[in-house]
Amino acid sequence: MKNLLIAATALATLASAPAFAQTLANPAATAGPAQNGTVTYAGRVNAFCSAVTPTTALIQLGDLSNATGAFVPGAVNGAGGAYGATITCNGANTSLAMTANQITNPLVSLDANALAAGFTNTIDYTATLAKVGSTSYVQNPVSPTAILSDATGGSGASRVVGLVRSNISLTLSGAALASGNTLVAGNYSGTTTFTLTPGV
Amino acid sequence: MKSHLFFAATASALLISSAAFAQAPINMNGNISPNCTVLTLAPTSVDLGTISDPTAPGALDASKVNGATASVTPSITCNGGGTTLSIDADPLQGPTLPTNATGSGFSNLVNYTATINKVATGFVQNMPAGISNSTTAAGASSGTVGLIASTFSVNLSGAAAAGILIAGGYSGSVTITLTPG
Repeated sequence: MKNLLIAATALATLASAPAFAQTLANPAATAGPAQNGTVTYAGRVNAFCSAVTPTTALIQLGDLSNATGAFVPGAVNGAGGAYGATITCNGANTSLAMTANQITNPLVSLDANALAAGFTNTIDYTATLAKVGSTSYVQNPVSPTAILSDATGGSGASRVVGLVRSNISLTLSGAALASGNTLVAGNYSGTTTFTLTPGV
Repeated sequence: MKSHLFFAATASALLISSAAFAQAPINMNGNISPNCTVLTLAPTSVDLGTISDPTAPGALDASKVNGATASVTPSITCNGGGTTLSIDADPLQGPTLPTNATGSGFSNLVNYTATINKVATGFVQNMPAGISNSTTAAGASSGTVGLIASTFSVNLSGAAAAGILIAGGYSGSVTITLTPG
């Protein structure tokens, strides 16, 4: 009977033991890495200039001589005018070229003797393109109003002006006879051309 | 006496067996981590070509930008109900502007809106419409989209120049991010 009691006690002890051994740790959840991708977009903006209008303009100089036949520089100097439309160029390498051509009387042909006697049919001058208005913008030059000048008799002038959003004026100055001291009578004409070439 | 002891031992063995099943359950705990498959965009670069209008200096031909498309493919799978999707668009930017050019109306920026949409046959738990981000926004646009089993498309729209565009090369980007959760 004593043995039976010992056996029962041992069994009771065994029966209560397994409750301590059955709990498993709960593993922590971790999020996976973020996934990302990038698309790049590329495009081009072409260099372009709006039209210069008018494409041709006539400046009347009037009488180039006084009552005694002497040349009057004031008839040429200061002549010019502004172009009505704003010119826009969006290229940082836009170039401006201009060529001032002498004012001449093409119908007169002077020989060496006439030239030696002081007659001429040619007038030199300087043409200048400039910004018009305080809000006009030309990238280069930044601060001067004048953009580019060309004196007749040369091969023309040019520069990179870059971005342009401006009205432009043309003004003549520095008029002088090419030689001699007396203009041959007749009709005189000259031209100044300028060209804007877009550049990136 | 022996028979009593045998009976007692047998009864106790039954008790032991009974107690072991009732008082020591094995708890099977575990977690499935939220994850997304690798995101791949195609193409990774898009050449929009000439984006300027040939009839006016620095004008944008918006049709060259609008409709540009890329795809997230192959299909993305995300198994987390808290998965977030974000899209961040940066404007097309051109050459550096010279001094004072901005005040005269020139610009080197093209803004647009980028939108990511799931394909019609795809499944996204919470994405009733596409998620859009404008390049004028301060940061990315995002939403909690949850479970995903879908491919996506990325489209550009609403392109607009911030002024007279200066000539040159322009580039921008759109970044898509999936964050498991």
